[in-house]
Amino acid sequence: MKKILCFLLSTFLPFYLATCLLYSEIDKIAEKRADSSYSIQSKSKKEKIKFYVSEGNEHLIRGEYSDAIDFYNKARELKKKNSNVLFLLGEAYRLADMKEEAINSYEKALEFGSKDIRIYLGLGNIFKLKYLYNESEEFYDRALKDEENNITALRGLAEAYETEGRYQKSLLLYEKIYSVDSSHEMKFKIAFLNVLIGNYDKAEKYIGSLPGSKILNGYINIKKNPNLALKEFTSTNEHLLKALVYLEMKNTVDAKKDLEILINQDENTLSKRLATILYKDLN
Amino acid sequence: MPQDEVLNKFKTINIKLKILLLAIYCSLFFPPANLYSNNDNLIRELLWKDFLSLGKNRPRVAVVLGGGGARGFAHIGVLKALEESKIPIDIIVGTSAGALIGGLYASGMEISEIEEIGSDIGWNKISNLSFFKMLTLITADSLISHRKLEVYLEKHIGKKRFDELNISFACIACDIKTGERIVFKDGDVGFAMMVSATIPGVFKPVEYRHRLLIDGGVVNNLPVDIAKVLGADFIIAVYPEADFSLFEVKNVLTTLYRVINIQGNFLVEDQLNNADFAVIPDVKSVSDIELNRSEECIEAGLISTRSKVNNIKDKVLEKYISKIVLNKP
Repeated sequence: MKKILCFLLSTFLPFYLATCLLYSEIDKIAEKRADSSYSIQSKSKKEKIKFYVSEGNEHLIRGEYSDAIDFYNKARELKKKNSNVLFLLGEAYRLADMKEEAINSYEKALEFGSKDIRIYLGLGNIFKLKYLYNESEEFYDRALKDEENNITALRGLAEAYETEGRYQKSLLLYEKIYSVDSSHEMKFKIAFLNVLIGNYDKAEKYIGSLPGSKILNGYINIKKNPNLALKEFTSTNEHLLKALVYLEMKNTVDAKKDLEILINQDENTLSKRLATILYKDLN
Repeated sequence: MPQDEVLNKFKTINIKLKILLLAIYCSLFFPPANLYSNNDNLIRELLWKDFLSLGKNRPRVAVVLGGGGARGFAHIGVLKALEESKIPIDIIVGTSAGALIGGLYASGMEISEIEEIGSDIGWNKISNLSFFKMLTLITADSLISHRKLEVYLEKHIGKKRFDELNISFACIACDIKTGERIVFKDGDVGFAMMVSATIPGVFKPVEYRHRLLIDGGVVNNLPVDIAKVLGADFIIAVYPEADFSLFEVKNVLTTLYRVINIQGNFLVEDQLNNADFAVIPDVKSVSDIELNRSEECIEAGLISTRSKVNNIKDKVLEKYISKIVLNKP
């Protein structure tokens, strides 16, 4: 009997406690909202807008986008042509992946006089996600007119050019960003684009230490010196390239070993599918 | 604590908070998962480079452009997206609107020029079709002349012949006397394009040798099989499908057109299954005659294809990885 009681307590007590904590938290939030709602009733329109915007900002930073949108919309109901609120709504919609609503809010913010550069950045970002690169570039260009060296705009523009296959233009922008932000990511981008245009010597100078860099480095070595390439492969991400080097050297036995590792992995990646096909063809 | 020290501490905390907020803001714009932490993207682009460098040994890629009237403007967006993604186009086969866009591209015209033509087009530029003429078509004893379309095409493509084109090209027509499918792959390109787009019931059939020719869409609206005959190894089929439930059947002419389109759709199904990859631009709500919606169609073709470019490259790489790796020149 004691044992049964202990078992029940140990199983259900934590769950019970967690539920109590959760409900007490929900109660607290509801109470806080009720208090706020009651307390702002008597406030002026300006103060109410400030309150709703402040609440919205809190939710936005916490990633609670639909709550943020609700509060911003409440603020907007009080003053429809508030460009700041419209900008914030645009941000919240964008982060919530509601693209058309975001575009609408941003455009209204511009229409009602906002000059916030972040609107152009937001629109640039959204149009890029919609695969409309021309429009995306226009907005990033517009942002750069206001702030020549805005990193976000430069980066967005560089990515749009890269996706459109305009590698030289993209490379120039990444190099400009790199002069200010010498992060591994920028190094990698420059190295990658140089590989794509066949400039391996320059690419080597920018190989950083991101996981993808090892693959890039391996690829460059395959092109320049396959024997050296084999010694350089150290990462588990490089099995496909390793297999390719073995095949280049007509060593099908070792190539198959690397292909088998990829075939046995769980995730259905492109490398795995290619390895499966190659393995079949080698047999 | 002296006041100065307190102020300095406050300033330092203030600066650190601002940097933190800026970092949070930047991370909202550019989430931490960068493009190349996913190795697939990297492997894809590197192997694609190797695929392109196969040169003469590279498998030939064909794009088959289906008919669809005004919806065919989507082909412009498709070709633009393929070009920017460095997906080579070695063969183009087209029917009707597909023949018009495909022929212009195959002749070497820049995609931006074709876009301009597409944005500027109107029924008045390619025919003497007026509203009154449309109403009287079903009772008229003579249909509209195709001469204006012929002149329009000549203005843009000149007197080029098939063997002078930058890209291998073929287009389809139908002999209304016998129901035969006619494949144009030599002779005057402009003439062939015009014939392929001779809409039955609107334009006069074209007399050619002993035949009477009309729009190839009647017998083959998506000629994937012809692309294979021309030597294509990988076929991308582009079909600007319509949703017929959105269009009213108001009179004899629209009924006739609906029947032709329904028949065309049945014929397309098999062809789509035989392609290696299908692109269906989102132009379902555009009718055959709405030339004024060309920009919308171009954009739809662009978006549909850009969103599928990685899938197309994956399919090509999966089909030809052994050739890339084992049969290098």
